[in-house]
Amino acid sequence: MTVDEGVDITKTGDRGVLKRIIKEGTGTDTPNPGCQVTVHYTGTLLDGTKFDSSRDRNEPFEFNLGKGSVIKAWDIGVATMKKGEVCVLTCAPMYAYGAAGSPPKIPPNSTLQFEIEMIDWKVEDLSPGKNKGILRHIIEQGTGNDAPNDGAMVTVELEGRLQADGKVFDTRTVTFPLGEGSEHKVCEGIERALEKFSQGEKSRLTIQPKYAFKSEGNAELGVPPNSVVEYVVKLNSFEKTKEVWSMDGPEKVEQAKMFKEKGTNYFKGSKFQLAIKMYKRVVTLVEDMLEDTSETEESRNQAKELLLSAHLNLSLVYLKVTPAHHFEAKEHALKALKLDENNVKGLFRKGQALLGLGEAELAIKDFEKVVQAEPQNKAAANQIIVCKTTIAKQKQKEKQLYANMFEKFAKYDTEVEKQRAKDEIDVIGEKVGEWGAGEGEWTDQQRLRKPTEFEKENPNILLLDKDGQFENM
Amino acid sequence: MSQSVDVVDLISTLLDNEKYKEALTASNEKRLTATIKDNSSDLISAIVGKIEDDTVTIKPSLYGTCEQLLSKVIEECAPEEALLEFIEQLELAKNDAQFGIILPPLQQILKKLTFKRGRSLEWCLNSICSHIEDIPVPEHHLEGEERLLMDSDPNIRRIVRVYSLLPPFYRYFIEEINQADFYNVKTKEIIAAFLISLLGKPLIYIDMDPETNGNSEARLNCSIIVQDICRLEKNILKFLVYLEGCDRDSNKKPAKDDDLEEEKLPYKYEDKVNMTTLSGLFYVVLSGHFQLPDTAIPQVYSLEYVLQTAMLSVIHLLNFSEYGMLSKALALAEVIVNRFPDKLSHELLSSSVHFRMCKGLFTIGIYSSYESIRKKSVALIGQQINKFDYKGRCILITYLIKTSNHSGMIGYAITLYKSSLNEAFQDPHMDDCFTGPQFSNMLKKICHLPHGAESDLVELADQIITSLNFLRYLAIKDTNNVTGIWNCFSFIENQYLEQLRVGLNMSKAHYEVKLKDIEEGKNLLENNVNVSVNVGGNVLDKIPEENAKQIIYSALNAFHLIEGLIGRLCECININKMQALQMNCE
Repeated sequence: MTVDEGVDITKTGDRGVLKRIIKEGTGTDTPNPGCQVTVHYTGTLLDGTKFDSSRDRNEPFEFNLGKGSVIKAWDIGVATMKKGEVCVLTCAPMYAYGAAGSPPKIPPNSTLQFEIEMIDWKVEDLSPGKNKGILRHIIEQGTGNDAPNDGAMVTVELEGRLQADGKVFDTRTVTFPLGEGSEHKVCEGIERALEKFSQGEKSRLTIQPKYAFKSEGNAELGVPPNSVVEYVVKLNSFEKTKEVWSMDGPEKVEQAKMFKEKGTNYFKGSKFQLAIKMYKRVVTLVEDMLEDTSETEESRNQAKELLLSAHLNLSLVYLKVTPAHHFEAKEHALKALKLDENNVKGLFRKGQALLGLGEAELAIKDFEKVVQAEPQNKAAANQIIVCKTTIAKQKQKEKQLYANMFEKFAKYDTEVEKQRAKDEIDVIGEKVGEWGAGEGEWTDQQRLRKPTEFEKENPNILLLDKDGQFENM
Repeated sequence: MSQSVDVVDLISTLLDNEKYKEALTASNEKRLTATIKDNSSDLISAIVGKIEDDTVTIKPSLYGTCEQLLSKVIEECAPEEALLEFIEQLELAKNDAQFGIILPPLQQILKKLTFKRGRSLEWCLNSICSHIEDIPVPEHHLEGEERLLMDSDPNIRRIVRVYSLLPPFYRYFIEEINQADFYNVKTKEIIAAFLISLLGKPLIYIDMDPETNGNSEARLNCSIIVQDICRLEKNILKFLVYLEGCDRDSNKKPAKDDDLEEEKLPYKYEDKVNMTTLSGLFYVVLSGHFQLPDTAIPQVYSLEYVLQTAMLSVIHLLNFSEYGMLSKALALAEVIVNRFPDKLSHELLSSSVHFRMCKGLFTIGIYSSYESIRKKSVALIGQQINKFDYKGRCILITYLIKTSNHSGMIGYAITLYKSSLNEAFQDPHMDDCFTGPQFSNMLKKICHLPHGAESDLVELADQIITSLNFLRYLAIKDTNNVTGIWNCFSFIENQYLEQLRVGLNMSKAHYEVKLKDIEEGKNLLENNVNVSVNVGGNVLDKIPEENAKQIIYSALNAFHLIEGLIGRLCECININKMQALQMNCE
């Protein structure tokens, strides 16, 4: 057996995968991508060394076809096999383990030969209990290895029909976050399946009632109770789990649009915190693109537009949350205005934020600019009035405040003066001497009082003894 | 009824009085056989209750008698009843000796129940699991060779001992499956799921690295368990699918599947097969630390699939802070990174696992309390990034700069960028990643002061110093303006360096004043407000004067260093400019 024997089955025709049939299979069917395939195989190196065999494990090998989980040669080769067929695939390194090999069994740059026996395949079963509840038959393979996560926005084309009579009951393109399908009359089976879809994939799903419309059916859609349904689903676009860093410009713009839409939906549903999160995602996605000269003019313009509306919307949401976050609202309005200095919405929201922050005088300038740009803008005109009354009120308040303030200061000063006068030691106290209560007598309290420094130094002022103590009078 | 109380009391008293022979004879007496049958539960509980942790050594004959009595009881009684009682005793077991004495008779009963075993094996295994999970895992904050001391920790000893009791118990059931022509797939999966769960907590916390702790008993236990899993599931990599599934579900809000509970397959029981236990499994399978049966790993899986899925284990383990978890995560990460071929296409980065692993690594590299772990983690980031083609490297480096939020890490990223650029200079044609707009975009990220001149230069010192070094390298190296650095000089001089200079002047003045304050003892007067800083319940001490001075000196030092670097950089830029002028004149 030489290396070159067999038919080249690669798309590019580079003789990377050669197939030689040893035993013909039955029928004409071959497995579709996504199928759970069961095979027996024996792999050998070109020198005849066996490196692996499912027969040694005494257990056939199962894998999902076309998902990149096995070496490329297998995904290509096994897809061409009929039931019961036995063939030999000769796989060049680039379709197997490449320059590095797979140590210790497969040396670098090895061409591998597999004798494969196709035992059977099952349509892919996506139901959690593997009870054939959701079967997927891929019609068109998608691209990339990314699939939507729970909660991700997806846009899908649906065509649903009853398996019993083939009646079409649902045809539409719908956008919804995965996991909230029930609100959009999308059944659980579709949602579960979508988690395994890749970009652009088109598949036929056969769904048991349990994962479809259950024993109740759906009168609105015209689905009788306990119906098995068949959907053809195409995943047009979805929110990627991919990191921003590995996306190119157009991809970032696409994702940003999706988040903007999501944010707007949350906003409409008064879920402000979530809306903020979404708009912030838009900002992180496109922020860097404006200055990035390696991007095309078109995507940079789109990015700028998205960034502008994201900041405008953020400003709006921060004004709407309770309690309103005026500072953040102002910051985002400012950022928006940086991108477009005469943006009416931006000016208006900055004005509102400033008003909220108590800067009516600054706010009025923004509203005036709005009116200048749009003389018909009633809201702005109203806001100017609000500002003016606020300013007037503020002035009034200030007046009172200051008026009171001076009064208070004056009052305070006199009090302090009085207190000080009181605190000063009254050498000729009112209780002492001829006006004193005790008619010239020291009270005990006064007698026990310690003389002050002054008194000690000038004993003559009072009658003190030689120690500087008060003489008993 | 009076008679029935007697037998339990009788045997219990005999055992207490150390009359073992009498106890055994009593149990063999014909007239008591019936009552033993009726009171098997109470009797089992009474006998098991006599066992303490040290019974085997202090009173070996009591232990032996109890063993014999138990086997006598299970001979006589209804197996279903005894089974329930044993399961109960497993759950209640006060010590490992009780746990140990229960297992053999329990196995006997299960053997008897071959045909109507039903779910009883599963219950038994669940009870075993819950006993094991309750063993606390010590964390002593030891590193290096000191970690060998961990093996003498009483709890680790307990874990090792309990684990060594298990194979004699479960192996019988594996044999049963392997010998039967037709076996119940579900039973097989139940046992395999149980074995996988054993690889999670607490075993996963224990060191098993052959280089540092090759002789640990835990290693031996672990090896036995994996070998046994391989005897049940011949293709060990089939669990990659479950790892993927768990990762997906962990991002998901739970509760959706409540109604589907009953139809769950054994590999979907989250308490057994979850991210942690599967991570333990793939550490064992892929780290190369353990010997596996020759056929356990099919040679048809694509390398990317295996490695990228296994990265999920690394990512999961990096979320922990314990040494055992982290050292396993890093060992596995190292194997994975090394297995990837060089010059990986950046297209692989469409899968977010690479970023998630990078994030896990830098978080550990910055915050882990173990020095050896931190160092290894940082080294792995470099290895991971350098596995990619230039574009891939730039993407990951950007990620590191933008998300690590740590000046030292950003500095490290800049160094990685510089060495990649240096590598690219050797190529006949400079890669696009390092020229034109892509280069200038990166340069702006590197020469970035988040708050302009008012940025905290002490905090940013690492980044600034590496970025200045990088610029000087380029000014010297790139005399032909291959990268387009010359076109960036105006940005560097007018913005970056200018802001730096202003910042430096301000910071220097600030720190010099502080230093003066300390020297004049001013801040003692000023700061007579009593402030204490509390972090996680621990009160931080006030910084003593000497240390405060040290901090200031090191800050001033950094400033001088930065100044020097700026000076040298300007020199290089000016030389470059002169040359450019000369070229223009010519």
